[in-house]
Amino acid sequence: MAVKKQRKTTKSQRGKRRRAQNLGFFGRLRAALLRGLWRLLLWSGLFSVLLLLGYGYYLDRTISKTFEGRLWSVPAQVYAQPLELFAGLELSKGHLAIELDRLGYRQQRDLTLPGTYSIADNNLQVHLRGFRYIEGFRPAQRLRLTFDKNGIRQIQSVSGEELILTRLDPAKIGSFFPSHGEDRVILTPEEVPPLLAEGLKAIEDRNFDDHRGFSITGILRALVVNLRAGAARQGGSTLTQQLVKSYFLTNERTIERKLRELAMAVILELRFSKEALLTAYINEIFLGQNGARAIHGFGLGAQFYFNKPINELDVAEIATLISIIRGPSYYNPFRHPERALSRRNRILDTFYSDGLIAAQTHARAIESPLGVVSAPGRGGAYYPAFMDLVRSELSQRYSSADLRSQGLRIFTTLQPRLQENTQQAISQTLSAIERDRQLPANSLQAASVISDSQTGEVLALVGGRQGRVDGFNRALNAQRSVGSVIKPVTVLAALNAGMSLTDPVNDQPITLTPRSGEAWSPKNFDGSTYGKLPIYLALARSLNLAMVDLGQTLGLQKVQAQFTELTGRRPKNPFPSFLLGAEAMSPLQTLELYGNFASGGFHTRPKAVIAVLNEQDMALSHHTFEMKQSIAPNTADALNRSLELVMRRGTGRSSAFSQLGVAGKTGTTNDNRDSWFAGFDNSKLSVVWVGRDDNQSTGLTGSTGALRVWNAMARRNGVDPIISVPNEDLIEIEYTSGKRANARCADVVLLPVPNLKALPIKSGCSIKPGLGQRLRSLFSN
Amino acid sequence: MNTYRLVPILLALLLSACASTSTTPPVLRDEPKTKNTPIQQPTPKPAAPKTKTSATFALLSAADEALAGNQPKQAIVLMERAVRIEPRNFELWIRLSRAHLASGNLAPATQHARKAIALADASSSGSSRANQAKAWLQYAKVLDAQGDTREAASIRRRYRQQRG
Repeated sequence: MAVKKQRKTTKSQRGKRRRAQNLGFFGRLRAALLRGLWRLLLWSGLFSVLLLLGYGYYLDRTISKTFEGRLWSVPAQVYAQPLELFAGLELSKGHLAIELDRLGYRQQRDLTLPGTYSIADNNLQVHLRGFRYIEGFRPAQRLRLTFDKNGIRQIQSVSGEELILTRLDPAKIGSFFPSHGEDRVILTPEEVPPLLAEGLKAIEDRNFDDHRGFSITGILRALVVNLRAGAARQGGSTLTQQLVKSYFLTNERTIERKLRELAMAVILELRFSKEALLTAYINEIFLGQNGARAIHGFGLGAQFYFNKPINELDVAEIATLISIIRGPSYYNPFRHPERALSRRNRILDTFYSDGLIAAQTHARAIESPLGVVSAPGRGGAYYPAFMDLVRSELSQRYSSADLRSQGLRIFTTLQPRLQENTQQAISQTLSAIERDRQLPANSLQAASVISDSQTGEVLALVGGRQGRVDGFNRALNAQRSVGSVIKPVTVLAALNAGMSLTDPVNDQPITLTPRSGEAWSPKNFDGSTYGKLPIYLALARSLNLAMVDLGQTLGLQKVQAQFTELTGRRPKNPFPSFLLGAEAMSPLQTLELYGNFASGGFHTRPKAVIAVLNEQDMALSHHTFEMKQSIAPNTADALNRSLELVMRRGTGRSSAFSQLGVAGKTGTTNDNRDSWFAGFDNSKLSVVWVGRDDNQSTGLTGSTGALRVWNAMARRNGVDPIISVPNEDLIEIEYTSGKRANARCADVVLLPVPNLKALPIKSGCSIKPGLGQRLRSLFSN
Repeated sequence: MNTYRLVPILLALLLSACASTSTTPPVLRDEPKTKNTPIQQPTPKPAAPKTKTSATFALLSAADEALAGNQPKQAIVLMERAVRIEPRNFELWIRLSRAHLASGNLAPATQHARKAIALADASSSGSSRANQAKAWLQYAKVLDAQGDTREAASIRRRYRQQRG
């Protein structure tokens, strides 16, 4: 056989040779070309396969990395202070209901689910949500709160057990989302409501459980629908394709992009489970825009549109969220409620026809209104100005990447009610001032910071008249001359130098000529001079000449050293004009300065963060109270009494709250460019600045501008009067002269005088002078 | 003590009683009145029962448990929560100082003891001297920990007899 075959082959080869010889040159050329072409095809095929494999590998790496990256990239969540509830708290039933509404609790009869409450005669029943606080998890609890005219009388659990203390869940006030603006609240598969998962499949991708990333039938169906309609009406994308599209956020409509999306979808399906893909979709899909913040995922969508956690959504609300996917702008329930409602109802019909909900549930859901919160972000409110402070505080310990991706939970000091009230007070009062004084609308700007006077924690921070706009934060960044607000520093330096509030100063014309620079001749606000008068009166009337006189007596260096002691900063202005507040400071820095007084003599850096927890609820950092005593208690008390006089008798007396027991100081700068007020009561310290961004004159003084804003704030936030504690050093002093007197013979104020012997006595008051006073009166007469 | 010295003290006590009944803080006020309502001089609300203390006491008990369980950080979190409810209660600052001392944080232990002294001075409740003694004796403990035993001993001599 082998011999035969060899012979045959030899014959065939000989034949070929003969044919080739017969074909000649062109024949050989053609054969060579064919061979070359064949080789070329072979190599290019091989090359293409390699290229495709490489591209496939690249796609695989890209999509897998993105998928896994997104899975773990959780923006930090920021929480406000929770409202503490205890028997004796002066909180009315109505106010508690407002607080619950703010947190998205629903008032209804059935309290089976957390996040609900009901009101009866003198009690309020609530099913509190469970929450992971700094100290640990507090499970959901049903409570009954009884009220009397003073506030909460009793708190009981459903079993009748009395509770001493509990608290609401804190409002979520922001998150640190990446610079491209995507915010999300990550849900685990267990947290996804079953109806949401099934509903999504029913509406967006019926074959999700069976396909491998793409659906031929889906594409064909979309093609038919679109051809019939003559326009692109329906997309044939599976949930997996939509997920890929969402990752790369492009609206480019090319075949190449479609193919790439398809390939990536197939890769995702090969690599990850259906459950993981559906959960990723639920956490990823774009559901709307709130300013610079893109709302991604159903967890955040539930908060943004309904102000509650996803597990509290009812059937209709789930349908509404699903309806938004198709066109977050077109079906925006705030802007186009009819469209959103009609699509939601179509979705509810599908839920029913697919057997996902019962007929009764369907009927009830169809009848229910859209139910989106009236003002977007009312409860899950965002306070960009306060968040700036949180960011700046955290930047010392955490990288911005950590804040944006590690799923941290940040507990802050903000009190949302105080914040909202302060913002409202500012916006409304500025408009009222502009109206009353016929100033151009929106020409004025303002900023304010409120802190707890004892702990220094910032409770509210307003950076401009439009609170929700993430613009220039005046509370932190506006550096403006503080004017007379600085004067207590000089008075404190005097007290620390052994002087008394009743010691005289000279309010007389003065010209100072520094070694370098121009001569300076300050004037009083009204242009008059008042001669010799006690220090407290000079402060109450905010007399410039008297303060410069006192500053000169003490020495500018001593006053500036006092300023440094109180703020930890060296003054920028080395000239005597510093004494009258020619020193630029931000409202937050002014708050820091006045924190020394309001706290009774402790310097605290205003702080906004209480603790930072990681995803496993381990505390990464506790930001405990930090303070340093800066003023001796008696000296702080004396200074604060003089600041109370400013309010009762001096430049603050126009305030409706001036006689209640508040302390503070107004400030006005040259040409009325800046209007300041810094003041405190027993529990809160507030600083208000009013001015114009272009630094032009406003025509406002501290009293007519900032103090008016503070009044509006106090009206909303309440005043906690300073309690006057008896003090052995308190002496009755004639207000206008600074002499010892009593109520029978003069208009008196109570002030501490450590060295009574040096104090002159008003004649005719039947006060027996001591030996020293008798001798002095002998020499002075 | 002679009669002349008793009179001002009695007067001061009377004044302090008046002050404490008329100036208890309103925690929450009603929303602003309408524009047409004439502005009236606001008045402080009447005194409310002092039940904040039981709320903060509950927190202190939990903090004590945390301290006993060697969890000083948790104890500080709980005590700071109590201080947020009653920031002017000098006893809470004493406890906070103790918790920091237990954790070896001498700087806050010192400052919080000083804070307690300042607030005890200004406190209108209880015996002022007994309050001051409590606060000063905590400060003495911190001084001991800092190694300033002489000053600590001197404070103890001054205030031990006055502790209520």
